[in-house]
Amino acid sequence: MKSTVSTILSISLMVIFLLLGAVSLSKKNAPADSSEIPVMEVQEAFFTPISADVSTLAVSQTTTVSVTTTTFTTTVATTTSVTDTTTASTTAATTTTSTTVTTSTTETQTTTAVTETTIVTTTTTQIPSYFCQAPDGYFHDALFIGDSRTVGMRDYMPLEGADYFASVGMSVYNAQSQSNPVNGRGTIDLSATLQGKRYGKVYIMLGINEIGCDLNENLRRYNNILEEIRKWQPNAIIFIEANLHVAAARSLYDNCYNNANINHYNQMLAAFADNKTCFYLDVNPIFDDESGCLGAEYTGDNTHVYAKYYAQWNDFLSAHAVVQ
Amino acid sequence: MVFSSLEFLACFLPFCLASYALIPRKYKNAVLLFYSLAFYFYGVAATPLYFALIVISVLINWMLGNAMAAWSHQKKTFLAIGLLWDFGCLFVFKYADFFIGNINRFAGTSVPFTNLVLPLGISFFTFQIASYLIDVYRGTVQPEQNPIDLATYILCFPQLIAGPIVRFSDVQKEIHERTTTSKDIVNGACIFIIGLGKKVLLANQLGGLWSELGGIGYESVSTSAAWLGILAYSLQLYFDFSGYSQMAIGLGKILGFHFPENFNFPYISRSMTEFWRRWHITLGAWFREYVYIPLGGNRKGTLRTFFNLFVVWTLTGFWHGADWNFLLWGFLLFVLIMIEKAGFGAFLDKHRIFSHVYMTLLIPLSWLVFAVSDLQQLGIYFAKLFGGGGETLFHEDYLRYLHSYGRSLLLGILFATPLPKYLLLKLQKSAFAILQYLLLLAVLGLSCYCIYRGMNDPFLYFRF
Repeated sequence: MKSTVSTILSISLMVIFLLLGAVSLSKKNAPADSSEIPVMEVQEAFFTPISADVSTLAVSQTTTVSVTTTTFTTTVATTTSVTDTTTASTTAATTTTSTTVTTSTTETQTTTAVTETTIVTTTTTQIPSYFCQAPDGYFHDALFIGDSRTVGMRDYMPLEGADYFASVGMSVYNAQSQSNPVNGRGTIDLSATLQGKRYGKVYIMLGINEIGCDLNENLRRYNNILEEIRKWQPNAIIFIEANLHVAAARSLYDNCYNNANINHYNQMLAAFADNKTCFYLDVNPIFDDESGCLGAEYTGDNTHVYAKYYAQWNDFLSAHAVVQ
Repeated sequence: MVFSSLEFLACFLPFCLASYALIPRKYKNAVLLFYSLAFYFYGVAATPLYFALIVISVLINWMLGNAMAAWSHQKKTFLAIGLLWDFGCLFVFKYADFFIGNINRFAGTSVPFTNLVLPLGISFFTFQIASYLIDVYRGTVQPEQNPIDLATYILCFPQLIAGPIVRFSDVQKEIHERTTTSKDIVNGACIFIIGLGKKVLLANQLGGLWSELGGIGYESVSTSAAWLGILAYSLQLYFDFSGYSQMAIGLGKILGFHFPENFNFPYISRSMTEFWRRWHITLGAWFREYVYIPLGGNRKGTLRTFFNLFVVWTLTGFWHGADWNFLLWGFLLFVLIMIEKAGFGAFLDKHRIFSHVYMTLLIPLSWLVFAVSDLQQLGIYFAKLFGGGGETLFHEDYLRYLHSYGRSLLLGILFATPLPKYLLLKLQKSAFAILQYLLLLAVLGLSCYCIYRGMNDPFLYFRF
């Protein structure tokens, strides 16, 4: 009978649907809270989740970061006076230590080693002194490359004389292929921006938009960008800015944009710094709460700081100038 | 599961409609119930207890409905139990923390918060269940003896999560017997596509502006940007909610139901009173039927009418959210409507242009109170609109917003008027009727593309 056939068909469809549903639910991440704040950037590349050992890394990495935190707090406090060589050496040593540690961590994947090495190498490393208060006009030959945070800086608290090559959604996957309006030079791409003017310093802040993608590929492309900067601006100092933490409200529920992943990526980026011509800057300490997340009072969307805090960010940059 | 998502459009819907079409008429409700349960379960998968909650609620109300018929002299008790359960759940999950927070603040206590996540759609299905129970009590409907039929009414996935709030009497006949003609299917699909387009192509695109302002901090934006912000928010809210309602109505039509209209071009209203007869119509109807009229409506003297309206509008505000700004918003609406009742309404009626200007200002301003929960931030934003409220950090920011959102704003204003619908209807009757289908297919395609690209935002009303 026709109705029996169609009933059977209908029921089979329901069964298949149930199976599909069960499969998809078991693979589904924890469903996003429906009041989730959208990241302002559009995701260009699609994700492969980072492997599970990130959390282990994060635990030890947190230790490293907190060491760096203390370091930078000290640095900020002492910048009013001329760089005290003793403090500077201690500071530098610890910073260098964490960088060295980072590299070894990527190779050996050990987590306990992190804590130990930190203490041991303090006294033996060669320490160049750097980071001082920016003199007047320091930022006149600065270029800032970055995503929506840099857009925020450009629009809401621009440093006098600096150029900005920034767009919402910029990532290492599209930085070299997009064009943006650069002060007085029209809408040009990164290569043209770098070729058109002599820059003394180039600040780069990218990462949040490619957090979900393959880490090695991310780093490879980041390196490409650094090499392009080097090619056209061989004498410029490069500052790699750490990616900003997200607030706890986001970090706790987001499988991708959480501070464990951000810290992991930042750690990899810190390894690019040689502290001679390339430095690593981490602004997170000035906005973090006790748990290492972006403080809730600094943000309205758990991802970006309120515009009025870019002034503090600029003060931080001014306090971490490098004059050669 | 959001209607404007690929998993709904490409997976859920084809399976659902195919099974529904194939199954013989006798079992269509069972199939619909099956898919509605699956739909709800998918939405609450992180908190599976909420799935049990809604099933239990349906069963309790089903039993009580039949108990009222069987023991009619005890009707009142059964009604009381039912309403206590239904609204009790709503109170616990939605309002408890608000009251706890305020008790703690004013009495200095430290009562712990429940921190309960809101069950999906609870504000909507609670009202639907309650309407059923009250109608049975009043005798306007016969209690539903088949639990599957009652469950289908309450859990029917098109209107389960975000309305329209359908009264049992509206669909009672169709629950038991409905037919779907091919005309209904086409019509339903068209309405669904229009709703989808409103949500994805208009609401989601406009939503970015309000989010951006929130990220920057209201005190730092310019006055022009602040006005653009509330304009964008007003349009986003309208297209989001009315789009969703239209998708629900369209889906209902395909399944054979005729859900009531929920929005009727509210932004062309000439008074607040008229606005609330065009915005979220089913909610207004629910409050009128089950709160205003039982309280006496306007038949017990001016002072009592005043009081009744105060209760209705405060509750309307509070239904939208468990926070002080929602109560404030409800009260604001009450004041505006009272002023209109006192004579201003007649003035608005006579002066067309003035009334439109008045509403163009008042609608976004009233939505501002609705949109910002932090009263201090609300104050800052209000000040900002009129020239104060903190230091503007980037004076030309509104140019950037006009550049990014200008087109969407213009489209939004256009589609808030009945003009496009009027043109579409004319097209339908003309010789080029086929064009309307091509147009709608284009909307569907574009919407799917946007969903695929991830230009997708959660429905604002999902916190309800």
